[in-house]
Amino acid sequence: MKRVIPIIAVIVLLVATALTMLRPGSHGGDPQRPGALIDVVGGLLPVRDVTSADVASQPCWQQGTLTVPPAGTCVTRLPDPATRLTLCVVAGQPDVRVSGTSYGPQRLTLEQLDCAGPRPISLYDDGSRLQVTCVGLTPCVLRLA
Amino acid sequence: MAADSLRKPFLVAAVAVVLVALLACLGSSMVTGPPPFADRMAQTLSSPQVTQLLDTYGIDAGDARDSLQGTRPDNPPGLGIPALALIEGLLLLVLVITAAPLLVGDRVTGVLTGAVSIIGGLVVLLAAIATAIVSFTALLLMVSLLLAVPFGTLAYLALFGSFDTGGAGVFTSLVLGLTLACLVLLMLAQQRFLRGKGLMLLLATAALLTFVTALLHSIVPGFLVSITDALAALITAVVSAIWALLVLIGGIVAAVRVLNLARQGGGGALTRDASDPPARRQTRE
Repeated sequence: MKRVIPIIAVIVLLVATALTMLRPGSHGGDPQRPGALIDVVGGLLPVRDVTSADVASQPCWQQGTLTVPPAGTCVTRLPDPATRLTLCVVAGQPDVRVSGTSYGPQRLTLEQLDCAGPRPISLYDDGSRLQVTCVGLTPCVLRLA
Repeated sequence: MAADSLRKPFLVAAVAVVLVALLACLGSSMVTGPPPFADRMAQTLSSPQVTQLLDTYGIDAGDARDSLQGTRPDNPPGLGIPALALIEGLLLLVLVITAAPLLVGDRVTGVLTGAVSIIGGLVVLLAAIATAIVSFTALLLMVSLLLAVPFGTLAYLALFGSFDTGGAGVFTSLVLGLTLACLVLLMLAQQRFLRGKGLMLLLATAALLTFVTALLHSIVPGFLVSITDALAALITAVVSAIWALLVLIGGIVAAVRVLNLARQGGGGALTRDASDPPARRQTRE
């Protein structure tokens, strides 16, 4: 019995330390850094990028490049299993949106679509569609990064 | 009256207390709840964390508002406390099986005990599996939405970021208090109940799961409670499924024994031995 008590005390201490360190929100409640536990669960989620094969048969696409005429709009249906889309703007001034059935649209900034360092777009909705409208006078060209 | 004789009112009160705890778990979602979606949306957009998020990603506040307005209104799933009904239900089942022969008599309850264990165990097992699947799906959905910075995070904060932690705290305290009250009432009914390892382990499990749920509601910042609540429901469902399986196996063993005894022609004796729960046997000793 005398040996069991210190062992239990050590286990309780370790569990308490782990809980404190690994608890979600341990970085002061910043939603951008939710904490180790949620990052671990997030790491278990499957990641699948949109490939050029996914969009090959869709309007305006050719070999992984999307070309939208001036004042025109191209809508691309994105596959449901895909979780990520990385796009970059090669030319023109496009207005880029991704929308689905359950959540509101994501309106993407040109910074996010910079070819020097494009940030991936999360696809978390069912029936996601990419809508690109070319607002300038020259054609807009975007490609999958 | 002998010091360790059965005091029936306390036994009945112990059963009633667990029944109240079970009903409290099932009815918690009718009492607790987040504010309306429009309020949550306004609250989300005005929070400093979201302002910082929008600044970091260079998102216009109008675009953020458009995005949230296009979101289908939904509420945090709030599965943690209703999931506790699984373990409280099992506790009630085992208590009734234990108490019925003492209160009503062997002849009426003996043959029924095995059947009740099988049916009750099976119902709780199926409910636990369904709860585990629902809570796991909710957990993955919420985590994937939260990690989809910035628009997914915004949607998460508006939909699931407001959890009624105060109301949930009241319910977890109530359920934990009632579970501990059951222990005290059982002790007052007859101290030999404390020697029934199965019943005591089940009581301890119910109390521990309630404590874990309360802990998971309180150790994280408010906007993450929906996620830890789903995690608590998942833990409760898995542990309850294991207990339900044990009750189911116990019921099958008791039923087989009854059938064997009936085949041997011991019709009168079978109601006493085969379906006798452990706590009852110890009580009789």
